[in-house]
Amino acid sequence: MSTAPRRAQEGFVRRYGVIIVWVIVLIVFSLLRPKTFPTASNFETLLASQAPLGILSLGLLIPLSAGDYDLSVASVLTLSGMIVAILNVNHGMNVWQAALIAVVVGAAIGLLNGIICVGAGIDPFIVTLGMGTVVNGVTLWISNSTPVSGIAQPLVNMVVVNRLGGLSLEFFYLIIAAAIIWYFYEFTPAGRRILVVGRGREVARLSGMRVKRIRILAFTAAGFVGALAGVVYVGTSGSADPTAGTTLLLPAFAAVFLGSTTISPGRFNAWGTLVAVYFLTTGISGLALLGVQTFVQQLFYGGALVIAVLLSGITRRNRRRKDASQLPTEPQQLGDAVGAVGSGAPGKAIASQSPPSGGEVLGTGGE
Amino acid sequence: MTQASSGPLLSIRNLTKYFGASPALDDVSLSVAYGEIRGLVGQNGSGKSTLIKCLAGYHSQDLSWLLELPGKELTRALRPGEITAFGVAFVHQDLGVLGDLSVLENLLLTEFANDHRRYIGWRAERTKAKEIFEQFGLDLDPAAKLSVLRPVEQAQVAIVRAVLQLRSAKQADHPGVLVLDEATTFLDRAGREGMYDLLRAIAAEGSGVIFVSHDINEVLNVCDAVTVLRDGRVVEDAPRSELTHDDLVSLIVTGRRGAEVISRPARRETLPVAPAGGASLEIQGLTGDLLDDVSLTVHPGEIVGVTGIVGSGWELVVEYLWGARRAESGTCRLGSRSIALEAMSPDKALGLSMVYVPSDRLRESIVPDLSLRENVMQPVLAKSFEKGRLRLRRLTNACKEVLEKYAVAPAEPSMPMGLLSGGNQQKAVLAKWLQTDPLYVLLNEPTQGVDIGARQRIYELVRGAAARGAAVIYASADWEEVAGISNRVMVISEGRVVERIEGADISVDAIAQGAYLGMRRSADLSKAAALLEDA
Repeated sequence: MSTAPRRAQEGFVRRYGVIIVWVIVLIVFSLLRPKTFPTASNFETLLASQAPLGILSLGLLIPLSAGDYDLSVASVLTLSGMIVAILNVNHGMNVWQAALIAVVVGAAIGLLNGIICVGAGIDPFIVTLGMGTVVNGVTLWISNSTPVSGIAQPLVNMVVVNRLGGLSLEFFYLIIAAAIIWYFYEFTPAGRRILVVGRGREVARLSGMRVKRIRILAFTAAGFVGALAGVVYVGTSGSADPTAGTTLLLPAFAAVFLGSTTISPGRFNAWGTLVAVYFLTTGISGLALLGVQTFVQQLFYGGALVIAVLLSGITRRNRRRKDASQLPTEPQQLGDAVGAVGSGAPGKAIASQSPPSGGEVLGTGGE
Repeated sequence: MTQASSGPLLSIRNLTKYFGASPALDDVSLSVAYGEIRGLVGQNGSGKSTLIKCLAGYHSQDLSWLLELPGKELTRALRPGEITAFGVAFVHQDLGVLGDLSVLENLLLTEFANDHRRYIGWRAERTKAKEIFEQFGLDLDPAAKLSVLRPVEQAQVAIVRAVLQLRSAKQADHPGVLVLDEATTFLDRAGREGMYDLLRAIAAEGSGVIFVSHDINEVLNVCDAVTVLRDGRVVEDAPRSELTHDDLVSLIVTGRRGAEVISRPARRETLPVAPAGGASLEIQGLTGDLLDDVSLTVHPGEIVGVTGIVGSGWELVVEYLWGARRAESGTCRLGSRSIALEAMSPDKALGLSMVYVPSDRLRESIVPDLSLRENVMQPVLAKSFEKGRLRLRRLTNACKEVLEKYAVAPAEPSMPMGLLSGGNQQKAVLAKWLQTDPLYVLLNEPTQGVDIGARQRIYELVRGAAARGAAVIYASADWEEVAGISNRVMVISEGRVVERIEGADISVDAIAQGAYLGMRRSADLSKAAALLEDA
């Protein structure tokens, strides 16, 4: 176990960096607002109220780990919430039945994303950007651009009203969702295969994996989970807003990417995503208590996304350099370093075609 | 062909470089004279890459040396890319060319990167490119898209670009040094000839060349002098004329001359008895791209070599059979089963107990960021899945066992695959597939970019698989290797099987004869005749 000591020394800060910063943020806000911030009720809201965002982020994690962007997940969340509201409130359908339909629609949108991207071989970034906009349009259309309120109480009860240990049930839904995702990626062969598909699509294909099927399923799962998040979303507020959900797209990306720098650094992972969601919302809620204006939310989420991607890029590079100086046997790295300066940047040329992976910079084709 | 000169063009003296407490390079000196092609050889891990990285400015710590260039002496480490300004240009294994761009655009990439001009005169640039191609005797069209060129031609473009880089360096008053860092690895035998001519033409202009390679034959063919590294030390620095093939092999493997080392598998004369189990694999009428109605049969326990010259399509046989690419037509019969090859895919092939080792290791067979465990154990994950979850500890232990069994060093399941040497990566890839005890093993250039020690091990592994009853197809451009390991050899030329050689008749000459005489294209016939005369 020659790598064990190295892991121990460099591992802790990297693995738990976000958690450490989170704790620091908690302490700072507690000191600044000792009466309002460190209260049981504030923490209860903090933990429970972010379930929709958390579940959405977990849904987004699935196609990202398979190497595909899905920019339509937040739109699916919004549509799903709106479907529940319209079927339940306007058409008097049983709320659970409505939720079921919403989730099926979400999965179908994901499937369609997958078929277009994978079947026709089109860049998911563009396809899902377009699909998200179409879904937004449909949401506005079916709702006449107005919020629908009055969701049946059973759903609201099961999401926010009923509590366990002082916390709304939605918090536990989030934990369960994270546990399922974690279990899937960590303990099932299928989860491990997605990892290979995400990191080396051609390698996966030539190893006999059914890469197309896996990618389509990942998109479908994202639509499904995104729609579930939508159901929880309407359960939280008791109403559906045709635009509110779409603002969750950026926080979800920020959470997944920031999450990939912690717990299992360099890899999109469920618990890291959860930690990142709470880190981000702690920041937001603390700032709100300090009385800053709402535009700070955008500064915070946007800034966090850029910084998260930057951070993971840096740690990744440092790790490579460190590894390279310990075992000087990798020609590709030399190609990267020299090529970037000397010739036509060969490393980048290849990288521009490769899908996103944990902790890699968002932008593709950076020539 | 050393020209009259005042001292060497580039000289590294007493280079010592530490990684932690252990020296990766220990008092290494290397110099290149005007017009000299200097070979640099050694196994993976011998320090070749480290030396090149020091020159490229990629290592800055724990390094001491005296670096002499015309009118310049340095004792400090270089910054990345700094040396290009002193007239040293690199061509790496991946060539750094972009397939989507034209030849001309590729040539100009470096200039675009380094120069801040506002206007590009395409017509003038095209003329300039044509001139330089002519000067080096290359028949390349500046307007052609790079991806349609043959691999050799792509390599030539990369080399010409490096030469242009030398010429535009600030100190253009001396001819500069070209460093080829295993740039020929992915070229096949016939292709390399075109490369040697180009290198000789460059050296004839007075430039120095540092030629890093695994291939002893090519080093002996093209170099004027050779430096051999072993365990971070120079074990030999001699003119080409004082070295034989056996000397070099012995020096690389043992550090001294005269030791007995077999660099190629010895011929095995007798055909093994086919053990019970799998059925023979029969390909009929395989057609697609270059291939035209190829048929061949492989029996259990047999190794069939498939080879030919560049562009003849020999590698397509395994690629189509595995479904890595889609054939136009053809059938594959395994006992009573018959599968249409135009509908073959890797997952179907896997289901038929086939396995495939692709030739492009970095892009097609390993995920460098993922650990050895995640790379190697991928086909057998289901075995460790029990009572609803993967037993990770068991998986790790099983991985360690497999790595040890297949002599992968270090046998450390958590190590990222990308940190292993080329030879160990390839052993790990073989371990990944052979641990499944496949009935059919398809290999595409399994020893490409692999050092001699690992090669030996790979031959053993392949033979071991055959001995256990697998039917093996061994596609390779290395004729000595194919001749050494195969029970039968199919020589493919222009997409057709032109020669079937068996048993004691198998030899490099027989393969060469088949490959070249099977050719119809007149352009290559003269080359064929020349090669046969040599042999």
